[in-house]
Amino acid sequence: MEKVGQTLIIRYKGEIDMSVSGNIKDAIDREMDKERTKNLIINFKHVEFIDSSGLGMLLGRYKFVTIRSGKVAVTGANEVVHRLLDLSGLYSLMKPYKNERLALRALGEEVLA
Amino acid sequence: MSKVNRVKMQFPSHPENVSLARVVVATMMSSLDFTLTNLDDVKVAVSEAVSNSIMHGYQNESNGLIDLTIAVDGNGLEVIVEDRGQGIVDIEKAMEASYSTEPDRMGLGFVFMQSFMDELEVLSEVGKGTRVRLYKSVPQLQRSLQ
Repeated sequence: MEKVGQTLIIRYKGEIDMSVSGNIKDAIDREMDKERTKNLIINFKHVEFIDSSGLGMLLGRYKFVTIRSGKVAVTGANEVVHRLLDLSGLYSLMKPYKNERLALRALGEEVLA
Repeated sequence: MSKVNRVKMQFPSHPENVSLARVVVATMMSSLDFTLTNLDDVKVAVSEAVSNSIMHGYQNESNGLIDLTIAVDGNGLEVIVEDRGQGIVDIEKAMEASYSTEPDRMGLGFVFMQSFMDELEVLSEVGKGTRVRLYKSVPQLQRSLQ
């Protein structure tokens, strides 16, 4: 995890199912509760798999972030993760960007050229 | 010639065993001419079926038992996930999109099973348990090339 301005970036490595989604939820919420953390970027570059437990956890984080008037962006999804984000309708809540830098810029963070 | 293989295993309703089920099914699939997309589809469906047994069937208690049966022949793959949990009151309703009994869940489990597999059968009896049967055929083109 990394914090840039008011945005938390999470880079999980592995498969997201019910055995880990609770821990990921707790870790994100704990960081988001820290001062001046508003937005969330989820980088899926090293996520090989996700199922509806993981997607449900993401929906919950979306609600958590939007209550604090923040935004959620995603990047790096491989084919299977991309397909599930699309089918579940999550892309209508969290916009995909080509990379972290573009996502950060869209969220209003200053990014060095 | 189509070789038949059948594996039966039983494991406790630990969340860690969801990935075990995926790995075993994926290994069994590798002997057939499935595409990588097929493989991903089936992994998601199996993950949903086993997660449902743990979360709903056994209410996240880890002392339940889940039976997983995987059978392959030249035509396709059959996966059966059985639990002796609390069962589903209204199967039709449970299979609807966005029907979930808990917050932070999307109610997509059965929707994914249905859309990623060729066949889905659900048998359930309240207080007795649930049996989910999933079937995926090897793509026609692949089969004709054998």
